[in-house]
Amino acid sequence: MEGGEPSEEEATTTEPQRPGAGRRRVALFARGDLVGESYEVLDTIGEGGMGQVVEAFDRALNRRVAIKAAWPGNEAALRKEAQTLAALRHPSMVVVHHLARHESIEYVVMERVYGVSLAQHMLRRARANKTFSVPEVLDILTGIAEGLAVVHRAGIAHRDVKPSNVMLAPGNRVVLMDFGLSLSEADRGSGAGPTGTPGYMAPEAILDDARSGGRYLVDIYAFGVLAFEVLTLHTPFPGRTRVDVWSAHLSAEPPDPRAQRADTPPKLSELVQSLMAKAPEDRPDSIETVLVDLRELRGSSSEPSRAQSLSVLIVDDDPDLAALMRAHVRKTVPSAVITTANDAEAAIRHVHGHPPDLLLLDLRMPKMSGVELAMYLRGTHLADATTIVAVSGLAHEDDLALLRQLGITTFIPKGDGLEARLASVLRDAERRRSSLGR
Amino acid sequence: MVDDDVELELEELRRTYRVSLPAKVDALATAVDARDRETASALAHRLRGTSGAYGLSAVSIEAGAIEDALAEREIDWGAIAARLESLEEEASRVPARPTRR
Repeated sequence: MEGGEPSEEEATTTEPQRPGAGRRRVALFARGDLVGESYEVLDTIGEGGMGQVVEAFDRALNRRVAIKAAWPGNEAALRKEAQTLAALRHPSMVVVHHLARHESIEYVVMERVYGVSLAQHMLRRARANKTFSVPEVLDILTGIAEGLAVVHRAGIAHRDVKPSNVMLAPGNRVVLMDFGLSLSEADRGSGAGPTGTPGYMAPEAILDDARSGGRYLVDIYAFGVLAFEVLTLHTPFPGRTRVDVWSAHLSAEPPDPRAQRADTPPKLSELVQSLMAKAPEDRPDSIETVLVDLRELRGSSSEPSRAQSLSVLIVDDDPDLAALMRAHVRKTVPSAVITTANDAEAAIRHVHGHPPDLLLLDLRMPKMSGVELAMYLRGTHLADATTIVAVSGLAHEDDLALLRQLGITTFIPKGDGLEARLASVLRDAERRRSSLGR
Repeated sequence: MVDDDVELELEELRRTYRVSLPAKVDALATAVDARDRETASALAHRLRGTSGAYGLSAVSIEAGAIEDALAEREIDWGAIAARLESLEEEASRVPARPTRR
C-alpha cells in the first residue's frame, strides 16, 4: 500500500521522540504470520517513521489487504490516521477496513492499493532525463488537488503533502497516503513544534505558527512545491541541511518554473509561484480555486497524436524469444511497427515517448519483473490505452490475480500454442486500433 | 512477399536456436554444478519458455521440471542433476534443422 521512497526524506517532528527512532527496528510482522486469525502476511511493503506496512491475504474475505502496524510508542498516531481515513470516502483515499491489536501490536487493515509513488515516478523520469509533458503534469496535479479538496472539505489538513505520499494507481486514480500528521482545523494543535517534511514545509509550519482554521494553507504551499518538482524535476528550495532548506523556505523568492522549463504555460507558472507565496494570505484561498485553474489549463492543452500503424512493444530478456515473437508479429500484421526491449527500464524509456497499442510482456525478468513493470505502467498512466498481454513460460496464480486487478486478462504461455495465441491477440489489437480510428 | 520473408526468417531463427541449444544446456549445468540457485533458476525458466515456443516440447518439459525443483524450499540437488541428464539427452535428440511439417 504505502510505497516509502528510500531516498525520500522522512517527515520531521519535534513531537516526543518516538521510541526506537534512529535504531534498527525489529519487524513487527513477517511473511507467514497469521494476524488477527484471518490475515496471512505475504510480504513487507515498506517501513516508515510510524510503522511497518505489509501485504496480507484476508482469508475470510478472500482478498489482499495492506496492514499498517505501529512501532511501539506510535499507536496513538496510527489510530488517528485510521480514524481520519475512515471519515473520508473518495477514490483518492485508502479505504480502512479494521483497526485492532495483535498480541501487543496495534494495526490497521486497509485496502491494498497497487501502483507507484509519485516520488518513484519522478525519480525514474529524472534518471531518464525526461520531464513530464504539460498534459501529464496537469493530470497528476489535478488528481492530487481533487484528493486534497476532499480532505480540506472535511476540515482536516494533511500536513505532509509530498511526492512519496502520493500513489498513482490504475484507472487514473491518484491516492493520498500517510495521514499520520494530519490535524483537524478545529484542533488546537499538539504544541509539538514544527511538523512536516523539511523540503515541503510552509514558512508558518517551520515557525510553528499555522493558525487553527488556516492549516490547509500549509498543504497548499506543499502542493506548490510538489507542483514545481513535477514540472521541472527539481526542488525549488534546495539546501544541504535542514536549516539551509528551512532558511530558503523562509526567505528565498519562489522560483519561476519557466526559468527551468521554457514550455511551461505562463498561467501554470504563475499558479505554481502563487501556491508557494511566503504569506499564507497571498496563496490561493482554497484548493478548490486551484482545481478550477488546473482544469482550465488542462482543457487548453492538446492531446498527443496517434500513430497510423499498429505499434507493438515486445518486452523480454531472452533475445531468442523476442526475435521469434517479432517474426510472428510481422507474419500476422505485416504493417506493424515493432520495438523490442530486453528489460523493464528499456521498456519504460520507450513507453515514455511512444505508448504502444500492444505490449507483449514477459513476466520473469531480472531487476524489475513483468508484474512490477505492469504495475508501474498502470500506476503512472503511461500506457493506459495500451493493451498489455502477459507472455511467460510459467505464471503463478498470485501474479495472474494481480495482473487481472491491473486490467491485464490475457496470458499466453510460451509453448506450442504461442504462434496461434499471439495471432489472435494481434488481430484483436488491430481491430481495436482500426475501430478507434487511430 | 512479406510472408515468404517471414517464413525464411522463422526458419533461420529455429535453426539458430537449435544450434545454440547445447550451449544453453551447458550454461544451466554449470550453474547447477556451482549450486547457484538463482542463476540456474533463471536459465531453466528461460529454457522452459523459449524452447517450448520454438516447438521443442520435450526440452521445455525437462527444463520446467528443473525450474520447479529449484523453487522448492529444500533443494534436492541430486534429483536436479538427474533431471539435467534427461534434459541433456532430450537436447541431444534435437536435429539441427527442424523437420518440415
